[in-house]
Formats: sequence, C-alpha cells, structure tokens
Amino acid sequence: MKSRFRWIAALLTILIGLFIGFSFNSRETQAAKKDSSVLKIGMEANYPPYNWTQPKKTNGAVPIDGSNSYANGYDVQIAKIIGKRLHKKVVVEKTQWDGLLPALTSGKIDLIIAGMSPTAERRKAINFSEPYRKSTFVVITNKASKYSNAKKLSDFKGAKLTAQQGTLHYDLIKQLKGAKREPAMRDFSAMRQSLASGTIDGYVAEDIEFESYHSVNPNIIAVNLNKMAGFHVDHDDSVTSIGVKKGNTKLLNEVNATLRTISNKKRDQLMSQAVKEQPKAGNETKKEDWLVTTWKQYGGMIMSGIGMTLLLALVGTIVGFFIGLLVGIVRTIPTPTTRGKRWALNFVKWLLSVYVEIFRGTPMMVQAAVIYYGIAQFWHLNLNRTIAALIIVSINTGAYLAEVIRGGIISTPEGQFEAASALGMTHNQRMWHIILPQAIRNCLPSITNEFIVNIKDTSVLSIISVSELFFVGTTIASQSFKFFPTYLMISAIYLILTFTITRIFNFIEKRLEGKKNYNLMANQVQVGTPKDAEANN
Amino acid sequence: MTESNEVILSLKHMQKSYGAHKVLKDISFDINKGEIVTIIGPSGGGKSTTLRCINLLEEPTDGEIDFHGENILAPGYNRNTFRSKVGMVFQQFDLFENKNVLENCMIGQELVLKRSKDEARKIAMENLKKVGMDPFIKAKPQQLSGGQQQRVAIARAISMNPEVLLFDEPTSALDPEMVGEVLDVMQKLATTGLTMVIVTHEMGFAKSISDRVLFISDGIITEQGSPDQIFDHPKNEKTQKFLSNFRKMDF
Ligand SMILES: Nc1ncnc2c1ncn2[C@@H]1O[C@H](COP(=O)(O)OP(=O)(O)OP(=O)(O)O)[C@@H](O)[C@H]1O
Ligand SMILES: [Mg+2]
Repeated sequence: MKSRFRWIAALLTILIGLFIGFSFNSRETQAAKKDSSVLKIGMEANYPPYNWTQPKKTNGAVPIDGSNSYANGYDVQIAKIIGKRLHKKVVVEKTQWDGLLPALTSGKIDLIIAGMSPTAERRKAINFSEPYRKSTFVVITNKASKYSNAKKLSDFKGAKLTAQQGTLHYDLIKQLKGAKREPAMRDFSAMRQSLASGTIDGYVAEDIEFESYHSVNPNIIAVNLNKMAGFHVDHDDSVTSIGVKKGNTKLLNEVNATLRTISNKKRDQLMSQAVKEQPKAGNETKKEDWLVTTWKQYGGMIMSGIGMTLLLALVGTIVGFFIGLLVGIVRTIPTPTTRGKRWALNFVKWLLSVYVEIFRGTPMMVQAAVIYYGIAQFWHLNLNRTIAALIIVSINTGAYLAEVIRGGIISTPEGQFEAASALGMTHNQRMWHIILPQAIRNCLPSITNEFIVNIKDTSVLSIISVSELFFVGTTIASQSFKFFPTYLMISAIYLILTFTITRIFNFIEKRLEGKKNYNLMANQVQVGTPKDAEANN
Repeated sequence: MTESNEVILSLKHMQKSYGAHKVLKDISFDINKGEIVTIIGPSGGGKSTTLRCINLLEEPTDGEIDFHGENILAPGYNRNTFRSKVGMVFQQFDLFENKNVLENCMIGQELVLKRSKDEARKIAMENLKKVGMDPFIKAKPQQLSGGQQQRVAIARAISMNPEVLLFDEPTSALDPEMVGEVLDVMQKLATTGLTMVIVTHEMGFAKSISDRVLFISDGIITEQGSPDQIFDHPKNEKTQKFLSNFRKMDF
C-alpha cells in the first residue's frame, strides 16, 4: 500500500511539475510579449538580401529569438529604424514564409518585415504599411541561354520557368505566353541550384535577387519584364510593405510615419549595403576544406541544433512514456461491478482511445501547426515554441507508447497475475509490483525505438520554426547554396546520434536482463551446496 | 496424522459453469484442520476448477463456500484477506519473474500481511531453508530448474502462514527426475500439521500422504474415503476404471 502511494505520488509530482513548468513558461513568454520594450519582427531570415541568418553580431545584426544566431539584411535595417523611433529593442522571430501571417494574427509577432508584397489576398487577413521598397520584375537566366535576349513576353515560349512558392512571381509566369510553368520552389537557393544544374531555364524574381546572385555568379543575366509590352502588375504587387495586425492602427501609423522619414536615396543605400553584406556563397577564394569552413561558420548553430533535437527526443520520450503508462493502465483496468463506475470507466476509456486514434492517425507536422497556431489564435495563450514542440512530441509519443504498454500488460503471462491474486494482493499491488515492472521491461525495445524515431521525426517541427537539427540544416543549405554536402552532413549527424543511442540502450537492456546462469559462488549467504540441501530433504 | 474435527473450509453444493458448459455440478465437502485431502480423477473432470473456485480465482456460479462458518461469496466479504490465508501452489510455479527467490517469498508478507522487511526476510529464509532453496536467494526464477522453482513457490506460499494450502498438480510440469524433490518437500510439510488440499496424478504419493481422497469426475465427487478405501477397495465403477490405468505402477 505504502509503496503504491509512493509510486502514484512520484508520478503526480512529475506531471504537476511539468504542468507548472509549462504554464509558468507560457506566462513568462506572454509577459515577454507584452513587454513593451521589445519589437518582435517576423521574417524568414532566409531571403537575402532582404533578410538572412548569420552566426555573429556583425554589421548591425539583431538577435534571433530562441537561438544563438543573428538576423541581418535590408528588412532588419528598416526594422531597426522603426524600433529606434518607437524606443524598442528589435528581436527577430525567425518564421517560415507560410507561418508569417498566422504568427502575426495570433500575436506571436508585432510586424512582418519580410520582403512581402501587400496582395489583395493578404490584405484580407492583415493590414499593410506604405511600401518600403519598389521592385522591378525580371527573369533570371544564364547568359548562354537563348532566352537571355528576349524582347517581348512571347519570346519565353518553351522556357521552363519557376518562382518562389506562394509568391506573386509564380503567378506572373502566366503572363509569359507559351512558357512552361515548372512546380514552384521553396526559396531562391533552390532556384539558383536548379538554374545552375539546368533543370530550369530561368526563374522570375526581383532585380534585387539578380544583384545578389550576380555578385557570386557573373554568368547570369536579368531580363527586365516591367518594360515589356503587355506586362501588367498591380501596384500592390510590385512593392513590398510591412504587415501589421488588423486593428492595431496606432502601430500602423507609427510605422508609416517612420517610413516617410526614410528617403529613396537612403533606401537604395541600405539595399546595396545589404547586397554587399549578405552571406556569400560559391566564391571560395581559398580552397579550404568545405567541412572546416562550414564548421567555423555554423558550428555553434549545428551544436545547438543537435542539443535541441536531443532535448525534444529525450523529454518527448520520457513524458510520452508516463502518458502512455497512465493511458495503458487505465485501458487495462478490469470492468468494475457497480454500474455507475462501469459507465464512468467506459467513458474514460473511450476518451483515451479517441486521443490515441487522433494522435496516431494524423501527421505530427499537422498537429504541430494546429496546436502552435491554434492555441495562440483561439485561447490567446502564447506558448514558447520550444515548449509547444515539447508538448507536441510528448503527447504524440504518449499515443504510440500507450498502445505499446497496453500490449506489454496484456502479454504478461496470466499466471503472474493469478499468483499475485492468490497471495491476497489488491489489483493495484498486482499492477505496480508484479505486472508493470515486467510489462515495461518487455516494452523497453519499443520505447528505445520510439526514442530513435523521435530523434528523426522531430525534424517536422521545423514547421513551427523550432531550431532543431534539420531546421539548422535548411538554413545552412540555403545560405551556403551547398545543398548536397549540407544535407549529407546533417544525415551523418542523425546517423551518429541514432547509432550511438541504439548502442547505449542495447547495453541498458542487456544489464536489466541479467545473466542467464546463476552463479552460486557469488552468493553471500551460501549454506552448503544445493546437493547437500536436497539430500537434507 | 494431526487431524481434528475443526472444520476450516466447507463447500456446499458449489457449482461452476462457463456459459452453458456446466463444469462443476455439485461439489460439497469439508476440510478439517490439519487434514491432508487429495483430489484425483480423470482429465477435465473439474479438479483444477474446484481448487480455483476455493481461492476465488474463478467465481462459483452457485452454492456456498464457508470459511470458519462465514460465506466468502457474500457481498462485502474481504476476499483479499481470505486469499492470504489460503495459499496456492500452481502447476506452472508462476514465480514472479521480476523478483529474485528471496523477494518472491517476501513480497506477499510485506504488502498483504504488512510485516516489516526484517521479519519478512527472516520468515522467508526459514522457509527457503525448509525447502532447501536457501543457497539460491539471489537467483531469478528463470535461472532455476523446474523442481527448484516449485520448491520456491512452496516456500512463497507457506511464508504467508496460510491455514490451508492448495496444490494444483505441483509435479505435472516437471521432468521425472525432479518430481521426487518436490514430493519430499510436501511430505515434510504434511508432518507439520498444515492443512493441505492436493490435486495430483501421483497415485503412490496420494495414497501415502492423504487422510482422505476425493475422486472427482464430470463435475461431481463420485467417491470419497480413506486412501485404503479408494485405492484398494474402490466401489464406484468410474473410480475402478480410472485406477486400473495406474495398476501397473506401484502405489
Ligand atoms: N476458462 C474456461 N472456460 C471454459 N471452459 C473451461 C475453462 N476452464 C476449464 N474449463 C473446462 O472445465 C472442465 C474442467 O476443467 P479442469 O481444468 O477443472 O479439469 P481438471 O480435472 O483439472 O483436468 P486436468 O487433470 O486435465 O487438469 C474442462 O472440460 C475444461 O475444458
Ligand atoms: Mg487441472
């Protein structure tokens, strides 16, 4: 009895501890959000020269929230001018392109400054400031390409063109009659890669992208579309503006007032400075080992990515284990005799099976998006993204381990249960002292497996911009334009992690299993040999 | 043997059905303090079911089981206390796989009888010595032979100081050379005045150890009496036929 309470007390302490930890943390982040001295800017930090990520605080970069890296670029410099006027410290919330609008509407960021055009579609969801940059549209192609001296829109007939996913650029391709619209791509690094490898003939972008790319690859050329007859772009579409949450008129006005103080000359100057300072790629002057240079530049980011991945996998598996244990136990409680209790138990069991089905039946990526943005939007509870990620991995793992542990309980031999009953143990005593220790030990390989799966699958949490290993890899790849070697290195790191952890757990399992043979000599309380003992009978 | 007239357990018209299948039709008998009762009979006759109903591993569907005159099937009766007083030794030993030999013999005492660790250890050691398993206290069940495991199971059961000890074919799962060591332990136990109910196919052993023999077939007690009456002068045809299979062996 006593030790049963100890168990339950320990379990409750852990759960309550976690709960308090979570709510405390979320309150803390909410406080941080309300903290009037910080201006949170949402951007990809992966769209040079507008914005990019860099490991050091050089050239006036600002810190990226929740990481050891910094953001810089044209957008960042504009943000700093606004921050200065508002007397606020600028912090960048590194967010994926598709996550920017939900982040703003759910209050996770104050402004979107991300090279975003104020399209009619977007205006439905958020407000936009006056433009802070006007752009010229171009098709970027190789000098050697037959499309490099196109004079009219129809000259692109037959060209394989693409543009960034979810942007106006991609729609513009439709105006180039006869061009083949290839699937849209995630970012400019992917398009540059495709152009270099010849899978596309060109891509639609702004003049500024040409300037950037040209500085590292002089073999490309920009074909100006704005001047071609019949080319039409809405004013809204050819400019970039700052996104402000609807209803926040005060902030919008202040942003507009600030923008008016920045002259066109100053803007051009900021932009060409950004083009100069943006991370260079493909122009290794020294033939230094790629691994060494990458490590020098991004080593810290990679290490914290590994740390985050391990933290997510470890905490997720441990908390998930306790959730699974609880669910597994409840789902194997024998049917009580009174009707009321039976009804209540069946209801709880039904709820738990719904939980298991939902979390096993939907992708973790979708769960992450729904929980992270959904909670913020509907309950105005602003979870720190690391905490959100931990919660998501935990409840997801819990759903899987609930089934594993239930299986372990069911497959424990009936005789163990009966022998315990025959001694007069209560149901709880039988569970805690006899059945669960055996069930859990039998489940250990599956739990290890779940841990390994978590190390890999937490990569989908990049959707909520948690800077785990894969997210770090994506950043490095798109900034260094070295896709293959970067992802190869990231996979090697994953492999090393999973391999090492598998070995460690195998070792633990072996130790728990104990020796096959019993060594009589090792026994302290030895009284005669077993032969003697038998002879005594 | 040390038999008295004090009735510990009394089964009254006990019945057990699995759905429409009536396994026990009408089982009535008393167990006196200090008595050794063996139950024999053909396979599927209901011997195990009878034992399992006595310590409530199965719920009888009708009838009554009185323990010191109190019906244990009555609602509100403290079943776990009752079970702690009625020990059981299983055919498959069923030692707790996650505990070593000593812990197997201590856990019930600590959790159910609330004995202190020291007391539980002392009693467990005494009983392990009785069954000759004291050199193996740190061993895990899977490191032991079947005969050794069954002796530990007996020590586990008697460490609870039960008033009655039930055995369900304790030697059937053993290799022939290990049967002797377990029967020896049971023989020794019998001389201590412990009340025992034994289901067995070891006829020689049954004959020598019992005060009373029950023959159960088709869910009823076909015949009962002293070992002499049942083994040497069986009256019932079924008993005669059953025992004739064992004639060749000496009992
Ligand atoms: N859980 C159960 N569900 C349905 N029928 C059962 C169940 N347990 C036992 N029976 C049936 O009850 C009858 C008696 O079984 P029992 O195990 O008591 O026989 P037994 O006399 O112990 O036989 P043996 O000598 O083979 O052990 C058998 O016909 C068996 O099939
Ligand atoms: Mg049987």
